[in-house]
Amino acid sequence: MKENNEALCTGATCTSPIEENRRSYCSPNIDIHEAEGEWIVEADLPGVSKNDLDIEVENGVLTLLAKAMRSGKRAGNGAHHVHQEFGPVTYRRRLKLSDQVNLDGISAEMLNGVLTLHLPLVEKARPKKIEIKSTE
Amino acid sequence: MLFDKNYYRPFNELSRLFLSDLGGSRFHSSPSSHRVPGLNLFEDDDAYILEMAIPGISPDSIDITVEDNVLSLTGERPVPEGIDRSRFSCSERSFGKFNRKVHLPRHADRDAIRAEYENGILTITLPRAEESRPKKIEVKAR
Repeated sequence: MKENNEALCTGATCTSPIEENRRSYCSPNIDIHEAEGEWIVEADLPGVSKNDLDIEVENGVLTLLAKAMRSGKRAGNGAHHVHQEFGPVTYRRRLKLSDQVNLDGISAEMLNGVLTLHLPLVEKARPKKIEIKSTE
Repeated sequence: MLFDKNYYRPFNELSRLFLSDLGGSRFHSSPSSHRVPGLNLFEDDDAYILEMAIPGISPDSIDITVEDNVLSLTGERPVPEGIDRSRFSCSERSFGKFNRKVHLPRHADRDAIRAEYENGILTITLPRAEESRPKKIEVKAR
């Protein structure tokens, strides 16, 4: 799927100032690894609180969408930028989930700007023995 | 590094006088992704504000020191124990030690420095000394 990458984002920090009205997404850095019976996805989302984060699954695609606000209370109220390396961006990342994932069991936690997703695996289908009928 | 000691912003007289970054050491992760935690510097009429994006660390582990007019931010985001990141399907996040230094403006009140950590962003506020706050200058006609 195509993503709008006009903002030159290379991860959790973006290298260009973000304009309010442009739809520019920043792709957050993520780690994915397999643990006991589940996949774990961890995403760095600095500046994002739990309430600013949307997680949706549709047609086997998981979409993270989050708006990072300036957490500095004064930064933004007429404060003047001297130097800016990251902005109040919208993070977006989409992951295609295999049918091994139990979509109803997905859970998420958010702490200090890090999102942890648990994607449990479905119980694997048991191997079936196939009987061979002899034809007479 | 994005900038050097002779940091200068031609469109802004004030910024020339104060915050210039002495750069920092690497925030290591996988060899393909070296990144220093991002830094924003602002000023308003009352204070200088610094924001650093460092998600997932424990706030007590950040070392904030001021020496000879230089503010140093040092810390570490350790790889969780027992985890072997080389076996991850995808490993983009940064871990390890970080260190960034910033020259403080002369009129920053170092004793009133405040630091807060919220949602993975460290915000440091330094109030401006009274004499450096913007004042109107009267032009007397001859």
